[in-house]
Amino acid sequence: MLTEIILDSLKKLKQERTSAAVYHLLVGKRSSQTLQDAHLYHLTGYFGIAKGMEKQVFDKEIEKLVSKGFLLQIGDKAVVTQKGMDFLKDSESKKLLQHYNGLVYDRASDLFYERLSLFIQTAANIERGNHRFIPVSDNQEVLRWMKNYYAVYRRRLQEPLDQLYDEMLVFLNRLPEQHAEIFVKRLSGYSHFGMSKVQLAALYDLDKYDFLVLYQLILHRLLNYVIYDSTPTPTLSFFARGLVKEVFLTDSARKTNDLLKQGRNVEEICRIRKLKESTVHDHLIEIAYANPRFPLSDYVSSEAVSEIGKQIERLESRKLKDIKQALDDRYSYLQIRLVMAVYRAGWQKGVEQ
Amino acid sequence: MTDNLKSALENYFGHQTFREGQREIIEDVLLGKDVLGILPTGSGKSVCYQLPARMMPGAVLVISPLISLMMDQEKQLAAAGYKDVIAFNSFLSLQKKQKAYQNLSAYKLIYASPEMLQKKGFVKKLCELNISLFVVDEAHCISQWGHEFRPDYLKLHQTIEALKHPPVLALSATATPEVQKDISFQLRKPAMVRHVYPMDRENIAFQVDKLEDPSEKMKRISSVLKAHPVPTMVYFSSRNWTEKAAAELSAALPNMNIAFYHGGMEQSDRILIQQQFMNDQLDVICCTSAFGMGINKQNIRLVIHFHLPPQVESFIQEVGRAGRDGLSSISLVLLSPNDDLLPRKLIQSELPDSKEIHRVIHYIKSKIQQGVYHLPELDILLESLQISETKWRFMRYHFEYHGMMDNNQIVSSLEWENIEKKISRVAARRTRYKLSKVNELLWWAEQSECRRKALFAPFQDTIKQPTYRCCDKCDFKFSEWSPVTKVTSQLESFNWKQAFKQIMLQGDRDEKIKSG
Repeated sequence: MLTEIILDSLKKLKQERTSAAVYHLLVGKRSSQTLQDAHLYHLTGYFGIAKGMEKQVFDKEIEKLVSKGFLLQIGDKAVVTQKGMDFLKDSESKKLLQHYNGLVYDRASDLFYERLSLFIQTAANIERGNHRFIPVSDNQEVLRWMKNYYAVYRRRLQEPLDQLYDEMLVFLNRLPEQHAEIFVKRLSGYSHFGMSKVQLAALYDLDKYDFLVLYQLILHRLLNYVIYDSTPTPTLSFFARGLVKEVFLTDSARKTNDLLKQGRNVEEICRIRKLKESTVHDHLIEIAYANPRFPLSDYVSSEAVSEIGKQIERLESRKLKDIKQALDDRYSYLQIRLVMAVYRAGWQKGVEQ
Repeated sequence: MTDNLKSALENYFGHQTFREGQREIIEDVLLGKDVLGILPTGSGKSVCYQLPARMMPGAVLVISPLISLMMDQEKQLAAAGYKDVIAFNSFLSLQKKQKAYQNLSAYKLIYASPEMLQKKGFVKKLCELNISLFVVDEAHCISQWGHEFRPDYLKLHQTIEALKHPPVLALSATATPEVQKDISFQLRKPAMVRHVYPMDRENIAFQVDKLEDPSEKMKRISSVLKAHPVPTMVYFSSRNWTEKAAAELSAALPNMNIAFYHGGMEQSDRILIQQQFMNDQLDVICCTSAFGMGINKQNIRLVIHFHLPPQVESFIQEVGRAGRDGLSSISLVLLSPNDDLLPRKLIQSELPDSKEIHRVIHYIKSKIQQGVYHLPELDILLESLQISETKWRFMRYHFEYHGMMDNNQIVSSLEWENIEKKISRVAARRTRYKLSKVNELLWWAEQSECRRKALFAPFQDTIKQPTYRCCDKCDFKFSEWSPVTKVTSQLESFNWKQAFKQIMLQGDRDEKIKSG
């Protein structure tokens, strides 16, 4: 799976970024650059799906793909070869890639799973009369949430268990056999502890991160099912409540956004926050990507928007310099980037599944 | 009172009888005496203060250096329904800490790290409470001659004084007579009642095998486990080795469930692996010393040391995890040439050498020249000094001891050359001491006399009569060992639909549908 993800990312980056950009994307680096790349090249799905991966491990993956003839290393960039393209096209897993929703779920997928698995373990044990068990999560936030949820259902725990069973069975039936197996094997129940990620990876003979991205895929699909699917999932929805942020911004961009909402302009924000203009511009781009209702007309006139948009489409490039020149330098980089952000970016993409 | 105690034990902890030493210690504690208790690992040390906590008015304060142990105990007590327990340490969120501060009198059992006692606000809060017992857990940490000396422990007597001398209970599993004396001296409690119980366990036999190299060690483990498939812990001193060994053993022993455990694992995986082992879903765990704190699995039959720990005390503790149920169990040590290199390296990484001491003092002197007397935050400081936290803590303690520093504040601008010499001497002495501890254990493994006698003689006067066999020098042979074996069942075929139904307790529902 990791192979397909890396090939697909490099393909979409069209050599306009180094392969390190893919690494930053996969580990979910919270920088304006990485977020912009994710939007610009329609890679938001892969954001942060391999958290904790070491750079050396990633470099090894690239090397492996080069030696397989899937990639060609040119300087610090990696180009997908025809062989790589063919592999990607014929890959069984390729159609699964669309389910990734990393930027939207980011940390939510793990928290969601911790809530869900902790509840199943708790309900199963207590229903069977075992009040002394070590919880599978020791995350304080999750334990606190659990306490509140438990207080509501303590006298009828079988009820949510039954509902969860029904709702999840529909979902598991849609997964490839192996993925459903992995999901069930990891669950803990009454006097039974589930398998660890490391054990599962070994069982299916997968490398650590190959397994982790597969595991994230299953969680993302489950959340997609809960949030976007038309099948009603009232009980599962409860576990996702409050976790999925609608707008993802770096902390610094969030502060800039707060000031914008108070009616401050770029100049004032630079002064108040003691930031360079270019930094605040980066924030604007980030906000434009994240927010479907970004007030583009405050920065670019509607005629300019359509003119810039046409050039971008004609050039089929995302290289700013080319676009700027093609427009006879009549518009600033900020204006071009904002138009790209609002019109070509993936925020709409991130929502449709 | 005796009958009261027994019914209290059953009432609060569900145990029918006291284990060796518990009753004697608790009785003295309830009489308000200062007590030093040396109880072997796994003999239920914590009951010695957890039961008094239930029976005495006010709160019991427990000082423990092991954050993971504190958290395990808090978790276990919470699982048993005791919510009036709190552990103060660096992992506690600020929010939770503040809430707990406001509500401190509601807790019966307060765990705290020695570092917490250096916070004036915390001690002030404690003074407002009625502390009925002051417990020092892992009390050997107080002694320079203990294997895990913690400088912060030396200030405990100040807190005891600030709390107006509540009864003190010091507990340890491993303390030589020398260390025992030091404990009561450092706590300024010369009249402590000592309850010392032997730590050799009569159901554990010892064997040491000398082998060519690590790969021979691995072969030996496979063959032992093939002949005796029993719940087993294998100790390693490196994380890499635990992973490598678990993979190799899994391949060699397809009928056993084998996993690794070390401190670098993801938290959710750590919980699962630990609990699988506790729950008899795993047969063999390849682990570092990070595994086992607070582990109370009854049926571990075999503890193998692939690498030896850096001192006898840790070895005894790790071996003591075997056979808690009293059935025949074995400690197997595997030795090969150059086994001392790893622990030596470890010791050198813990204590500063003269170059590092010079660098730190040079840094401080340059700060003084700049007129800066306040050192930066810990992580920034460590970054600019290029030194480990352990090494810095060692030096800071000595700076403070000599009155050169107080809480990150430089209070003296003179005498630093002198201090450099002194600290270098202390560090060198400490390094020598630790290296001698490594040699002690290696020396033990080379002995030709009875292994039990050689191991436990420094700690106690008498050696118990073994229930089963003694050691390879006396009467033990693996070929004659017939332990109670219990191997986890392997899943032949896995059907996720079936398994999912089971986990979600859907069995009854099926029947209902069928019958209805």
